[in-house]
Amino acid sequence: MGIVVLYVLLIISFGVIKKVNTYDAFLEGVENSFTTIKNIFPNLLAIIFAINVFINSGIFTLLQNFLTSIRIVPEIIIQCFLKPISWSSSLVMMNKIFETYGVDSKTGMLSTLIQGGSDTTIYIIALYFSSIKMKKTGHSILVGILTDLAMFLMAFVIIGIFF
Amino acid sequence: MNKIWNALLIIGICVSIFTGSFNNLGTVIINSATDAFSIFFKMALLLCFWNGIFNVAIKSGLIKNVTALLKKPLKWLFPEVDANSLCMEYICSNVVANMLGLGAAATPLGLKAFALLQEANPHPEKPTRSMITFVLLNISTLTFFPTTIISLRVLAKGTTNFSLILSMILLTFFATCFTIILDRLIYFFQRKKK
Repeated sequence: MGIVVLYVLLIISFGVIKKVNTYDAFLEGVENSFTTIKNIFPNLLAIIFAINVFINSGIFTLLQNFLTSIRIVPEIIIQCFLKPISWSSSLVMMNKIFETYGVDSKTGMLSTLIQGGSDTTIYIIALYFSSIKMKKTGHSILVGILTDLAMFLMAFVIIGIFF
Repeated sequence: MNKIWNALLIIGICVSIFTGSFNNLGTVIINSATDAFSIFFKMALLLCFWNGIFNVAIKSGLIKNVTALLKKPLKWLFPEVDANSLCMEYICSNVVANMLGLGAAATPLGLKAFALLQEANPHPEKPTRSMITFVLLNISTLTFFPTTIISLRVLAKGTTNFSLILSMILLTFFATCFTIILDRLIYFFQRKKK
């Protein structure tokens, strides 16, 4: 994890060289994130409730019989479906995969790549266009979804080649 | 989102009747709230921490320095936006925040840039080419240092080696190239048709 230390060191030392009050700047940044946090919780609770009901209903055992032939973990497929819609529900899926298969397993790594590979397409488009009250979104949804699909395939390829 | 929420719940409960995990589901539902809180707790603290660090980077002008490097490629991507305008500055900061893996810090900057793009829009009911490109860039998010994802792996007691970070950079780079090329192709195709 040396890279995290280097990254933090770079930012802080740059602040020191530029004679910025780094302590106050840090506090201000933390304080500004409180509004974001406040908006996250209700969303997260609702989503985790629904996802828990869904994945504990035994639907995976049904899916597993169906999917064993192509050797893909059903949780990964669910994550791929959730990813374009909701970042936090896809994150919940990633945590479940970590618990079931292990963080450092191939499946765990694949799940990490899927989570980090792109942002939440539908949510981002809805957020940006609704912020200026525009109904037409041009070709953004089409390209966004195609990008997601390409990213999922690429994630599988990368895991297959490097790990 | 509403439809998806309903679908997940109804499908889940219906399936559980057939698979016999109906009773088990009660426990799961009650535990959901604590489950949500533990994930929220992890995420909220991470967000606070990285936003704090990122604010130091903003205040010290580090972001501005990186922004200067990005002017050229961004000018090519957004030919309609004046390179010295406030709008371009917001676009740059948004792209930099995404590169550092700080999506939560990137969004407010992005929304401001988007509002400025709309102000310059000659046909306010239709998105301009730059607006679509900008939203797509925020979806593919070219990332050089995936802070949030790395932190989450640490909390789950996993290791993150260099090759995983490298794959992440490769993957987002691929997604960004893919989305830009597709965006351009569709744009030129539509213009030809007219």
